[in-house]
Amino acid sequence: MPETINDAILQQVIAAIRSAIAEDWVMDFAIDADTSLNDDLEIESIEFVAIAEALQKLFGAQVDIIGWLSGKDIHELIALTVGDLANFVEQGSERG
Amino acid sequence: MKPIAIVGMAGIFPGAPDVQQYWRNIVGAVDAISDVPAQRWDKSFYDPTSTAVDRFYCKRGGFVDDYVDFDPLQFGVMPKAAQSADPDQLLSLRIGVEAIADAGYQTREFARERTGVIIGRGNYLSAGTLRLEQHVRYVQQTLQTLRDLLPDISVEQIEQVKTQLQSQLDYYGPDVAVGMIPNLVASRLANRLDLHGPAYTVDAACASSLLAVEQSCQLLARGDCDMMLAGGLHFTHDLTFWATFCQLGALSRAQKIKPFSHDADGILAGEGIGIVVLKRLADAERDNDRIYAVIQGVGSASDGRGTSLLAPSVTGQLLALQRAWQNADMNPAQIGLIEAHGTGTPAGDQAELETLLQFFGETKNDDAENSETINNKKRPVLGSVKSMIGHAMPAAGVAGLIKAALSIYHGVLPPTLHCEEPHPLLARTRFRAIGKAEPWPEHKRIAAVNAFGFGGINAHVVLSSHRTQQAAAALNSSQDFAVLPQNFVVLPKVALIAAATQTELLEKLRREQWDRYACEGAWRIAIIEPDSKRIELAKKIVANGKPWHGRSQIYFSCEPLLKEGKIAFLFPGVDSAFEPRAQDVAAYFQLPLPPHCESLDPAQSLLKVVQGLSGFNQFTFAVLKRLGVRADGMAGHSIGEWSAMTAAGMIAREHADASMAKLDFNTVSFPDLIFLAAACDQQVVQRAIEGLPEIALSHDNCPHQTIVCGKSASIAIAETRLREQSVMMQRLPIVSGFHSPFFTEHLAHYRDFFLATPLAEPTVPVWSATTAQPFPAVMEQKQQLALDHLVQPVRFRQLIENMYAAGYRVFIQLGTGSVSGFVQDTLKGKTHLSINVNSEKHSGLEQLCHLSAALWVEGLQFDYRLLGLADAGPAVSKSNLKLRLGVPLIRLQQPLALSVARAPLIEFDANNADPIQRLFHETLTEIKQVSDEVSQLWLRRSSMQPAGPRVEMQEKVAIAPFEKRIVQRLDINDNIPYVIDHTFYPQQQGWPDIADRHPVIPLTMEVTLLRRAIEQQLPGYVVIRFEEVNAFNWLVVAQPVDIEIVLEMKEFPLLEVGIEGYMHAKAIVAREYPAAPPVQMHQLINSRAAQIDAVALYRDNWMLHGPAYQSVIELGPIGDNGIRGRLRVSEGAGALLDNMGQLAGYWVMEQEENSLAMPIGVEQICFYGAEPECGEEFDCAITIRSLDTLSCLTDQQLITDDGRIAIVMNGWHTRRYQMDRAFWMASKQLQKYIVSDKLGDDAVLFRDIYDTAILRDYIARRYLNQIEMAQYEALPPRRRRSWLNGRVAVKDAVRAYCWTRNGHYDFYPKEMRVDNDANGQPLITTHITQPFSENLHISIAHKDLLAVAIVGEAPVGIDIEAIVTRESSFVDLAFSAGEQQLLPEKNRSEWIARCWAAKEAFAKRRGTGLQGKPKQFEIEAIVDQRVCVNGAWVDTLCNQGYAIGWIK
Repeated sequence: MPETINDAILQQVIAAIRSAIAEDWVMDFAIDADTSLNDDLEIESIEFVAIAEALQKLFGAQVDIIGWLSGKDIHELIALTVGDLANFVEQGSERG
Repeated sequence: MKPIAIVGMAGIFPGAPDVQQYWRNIVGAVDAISDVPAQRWDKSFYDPTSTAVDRFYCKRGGFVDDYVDFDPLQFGVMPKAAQSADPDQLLSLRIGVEAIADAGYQTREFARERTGVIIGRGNYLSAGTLRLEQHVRYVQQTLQTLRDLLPDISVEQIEQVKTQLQSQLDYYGPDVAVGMIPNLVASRLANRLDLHGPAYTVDAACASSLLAVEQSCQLLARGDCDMMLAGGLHFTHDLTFWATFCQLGALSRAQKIKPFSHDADGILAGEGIGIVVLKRLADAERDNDRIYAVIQGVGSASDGRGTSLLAPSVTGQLLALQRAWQNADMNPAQIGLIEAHGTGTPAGDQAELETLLQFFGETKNDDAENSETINNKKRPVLGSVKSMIGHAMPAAGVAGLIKAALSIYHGVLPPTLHCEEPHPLLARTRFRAIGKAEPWPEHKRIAAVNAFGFGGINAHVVLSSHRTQQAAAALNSSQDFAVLPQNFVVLPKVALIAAATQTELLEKLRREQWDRYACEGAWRIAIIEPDSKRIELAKKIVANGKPWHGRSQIYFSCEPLLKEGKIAFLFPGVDSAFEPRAQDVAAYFQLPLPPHCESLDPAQSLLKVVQGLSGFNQFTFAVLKRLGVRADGMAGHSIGEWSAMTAAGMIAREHADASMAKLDFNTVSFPDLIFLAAACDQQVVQRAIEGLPEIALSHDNCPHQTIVCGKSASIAIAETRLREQSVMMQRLPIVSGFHSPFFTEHLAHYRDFFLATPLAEPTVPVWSATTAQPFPAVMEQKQQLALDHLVQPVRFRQLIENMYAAGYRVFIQLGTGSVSGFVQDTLKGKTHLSINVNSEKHSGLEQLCHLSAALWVEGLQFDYRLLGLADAGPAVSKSNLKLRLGVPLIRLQQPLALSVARAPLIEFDANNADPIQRLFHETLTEIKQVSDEVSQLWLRRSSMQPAGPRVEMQEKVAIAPFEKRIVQRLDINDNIPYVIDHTFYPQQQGWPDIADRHPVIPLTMEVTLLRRAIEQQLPGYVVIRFEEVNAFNWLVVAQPVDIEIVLEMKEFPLLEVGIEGYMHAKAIVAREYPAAPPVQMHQLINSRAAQIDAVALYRDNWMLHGPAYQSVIELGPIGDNGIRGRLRVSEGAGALLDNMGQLAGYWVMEQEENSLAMPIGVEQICFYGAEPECGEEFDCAITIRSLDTLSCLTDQQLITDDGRIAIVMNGWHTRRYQMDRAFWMASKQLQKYIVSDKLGDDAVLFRDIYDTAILRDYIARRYLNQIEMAQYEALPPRRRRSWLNGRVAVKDAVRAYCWTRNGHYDFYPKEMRVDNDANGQPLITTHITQPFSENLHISIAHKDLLAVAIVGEAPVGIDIEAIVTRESSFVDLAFSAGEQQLLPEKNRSEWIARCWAAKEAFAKRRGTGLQGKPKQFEIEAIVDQRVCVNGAWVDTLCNQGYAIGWIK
């Protein structure tokens, strides 16, 4: 895992999360790399799917984000942070 | 003794305004000791070196000054009298009532004629008595002393002193006198609550409260009374009390109270009040009361002829213990907790430990492995709450009793502070002291409480847990205690506010004025464990005006869903995990927990999970019943449907239990069957399993979750197909085959059960997830459906959609699991609440608090006990007083005008003086000088307080604090005519109804009014600065308004000023204006011309301002970080400041979205000169400090032509309104534009995307005239939105129609009225003016958030329908076979909707509607987008999921 997260990717991930949740409250939330999907954003597992879809759409086929996420059980999923997602996307893009 | 139940309790103790906080503090080991507050006694009394009677060596203790609120009106006491009366009386009244409420008898009736009150209270000097004493003795004593010291003092001077002294005293009159009678501490309660048992006080020093409890128990046991209030209080921290205890040497010199510590050196005084409600246990059980603990025995004894009056005696104490345990019929060896008297005096601790040693037995050295255990068993715990709150004297016993009862109730052994190194004797007893809370897992918990009083009066109470708690505890292991202490069963604090309006709610929130009683008001917010961060977020949420359901522990609603919406209970089936949080709930509600309510893995033990979840579903149902939350309908997910059927009474409980007991999944095998959950909707899944053998859709949960069941080969192919489409998937760890055709061969057991079990009519409708409809009424059909359920898919998504359509808005998930997430996903974007009764995220009680909070904001009436709300408080408690417990020294404000003759100076002859005479003369002169200086200083003392910032030294002459209220009438037809140029909603020239224009006073004019009022009040002074200017209500002047300007000189030169109810600010005055700071212009980034010029700014309604407020004469340049402009002062009050704001507002308006902006406050306005004259010109520079979606902050400078700063406004705060630009552009010139989309043929479509209450108000006030506004406001909230949307659409349709026919002219929506004729047909007429002369016909329809309307000179019709997949039954009903032939196969759902809308539109044109006979309107042909109905052509179109049909 790289020491620092590519900021551009992180910002894209954050924007995707905001637009996937698409509710008023999320505009009032400060989201950064340390934001946890479960504890901070308090998202339900179902909502997580919408986020994953949005990310997959955003980063296209070269990053198998759905595949990566499918390998995790729901408890692992909701323990993820926004930074974890951005890291995976970044590594995925590099490989691609 | 007959066991007595403690069924209610209330109290105030140091650090704790209520019993809940008291318990949290105990568990959290909070030290509530502090320095004595200044209002209790002057710090000059503190002198640790002195032994004088009026000097105290100790200044620390436990104090409750912050919590002694009393609302006189609630209790029928005159507020004036309440301030002076004895606080003891008022507080015992309040706490007694709260204790009754805690016991659940505020609304339930009880035997008042057989209820008594006994309160322990010491006869120390109380605050009330002292205040009376001042009136009666102190004034006379002072005057007498003055006369004695100054024989020449005149009668006038004495009178002057008397008047001054008396003016400092509290009010005293006949109405206060009753507040001084000591025994009324008990009698007031009896009087207020109409109790006819005995009511009296007892004084047995520190044993008082336990003696009150003992006597109460006896009255109950003998059957003389059925209910008793017993307790004690102590608020008498008077100087005399401190003097007594210092002289006795009883107070700790180390100023720390350390009961049972080896170096304890005395007490610290505490105070407080506690009252418990007692009933015979049998009665309490019969009446279903909550039982905190059971009193098994009480005993008391005096020391007799002990060693000395104040020395503790082991003999007397032992006797009390023996008597109590004899009564109790319990085994002392089983004791788990002693709440000791534990005062922290060496003699007291020593004697008490000896008593315990003798009574409970000694630990021999060989028994004790260490200080923790004896014979491998944990030692019982010894403690004293005095280590946290001090010694509350007569209230000490009840403080200990409440602590012990709660310890038993919650199963927690509580800690004691400052006893790290215990008294050596402790090790020899059987007890140990603990510094941190521990679980108390025993099922039978026994505790005892000691209270030993001065003079040798001893009392002891034996308590035990109630058997229901034991049962609850027995069923569950101590797993909940694995993570001490966070997981204690302590209710979280919930802060609530209900208000009638947004502004009121915001204002209460700003002041953190939480409701203590259930108040009315549709605007409601609940914050769980509020902290500053959450409160800030809450303010944003309220400002936003959109519902908020639990994120960051906040719940908010302003249009209660439950005003009309229905409640659904949803019971879960097997989930991928089962983690109920049950134990605390079971203990709290004293409900037995069914088996297997513990964390289980469905993959390991499916059978246990099924049994556990079924039991837990019914358990949570019982809890909701206790809370008074009832369902309008029920449903279940998968086998949760059986729970729903059971809860609704379709299946008798015993049948359900019997069936469950017979289940054995091990006998059923499903080789190769796998459940696959796919995160996508069912259509995607259907495609993925197309053509595959032995696989079927089993659960359509929600748009993002569908489950299939199948053999592994097919599952694997489906997985591959889904993966190609990037669908997330998961194989479930459960094998059952339920809800798939593969289960058919295993139906035998269920067929036997369901066909043999009568299914009764449910108490509320039970919805089947197989049909997504309520269960049928016919028995055979019911039974068949119950069986079909096992082999047909769970159509949960459709179920929830149908329930929503049937009016269900609140979905409560019982049991535990993720069903509520399915609901949220299905209803995303639709207003609803979906919430769990139990969740793994919180403890059981916490989640129930969340549920309670959510239901409360949505307007449900139920048992609010978990929210800490008393249910029947006064309507509004505005009269709340903070009682004063202390009687501080009196300090006079003015020196006596002393013309008292002084001894004349001895005539001094400088020429003829001997040295002694000279010395004497010099000394006298010096004395006189000093004395003059001192009296000068006295006169100037208030000006020597630290001055406010930036005040020049010359400003020393201060103005004394004052408060002034000035009532001023604002009348737009009289003294403020220019405000007609500051109206929100412009109308036709000469429009007579001023309210339609909504004239409001600009914030800047309010500031100007304040500035003028201050300067008028303080001649010779000018306002140099305003700070923290905040407006919280529009000051609307459609009618003359009397405003109240409040000026309060706090501390010169700072005033708190405001217009009562509308705005507030701080003002700073000075003799002169300060020198202006240098101009600091930020370079404009990306500087450019503004998009419009200053003329267009007003002409095109960018600004709502009329001529009197049009001061911007040059607009721009504008940049990314600010804007410049030039202003010419116009006549409207506050216009200049307002125009600075207009420039900032214009900058926001050039932004892409959220363009509407209104000022709401400013951090600072600095004036460097007088108000400029009309016609003067200035440059203005605006810098943007911050911008977000909700607000914009700017800094502004007004600059004279010679380059000086005249005014600075920093932190000008504009609130932005969320709207798209097209809407904003049209809405600001509504006389010229429509906000709807044209569909053609004079039909329009209005798309309502304006979700906030603020925006809907904005739309309503633009479109509805006063008559319609009144209709609108009378509608139920849920109907308002679509009604308004219909009005917008039709008024737009009419205006567009007129403009098409007659050319463009100004035509405001308020110039017409929409009514209904006698048949309910909508009717359009002109209003006030004559914008059209034709006789127009209209038709309106709305669906969800869309509204359509059409207008014509002959009757017209329009309809809109959602495009959804329809059942064939619907199609058969709506269309004849011939019509169905006509419906195109392609996009069939769409054509069904179009044709239905066409029929409806046609029928509406006929003025009848479909009248439930759709086949009377025959579709004869479909050509392109047009549908021929009964020979007439109806236009149709489809738009974003909706079909619209219209006909002219």
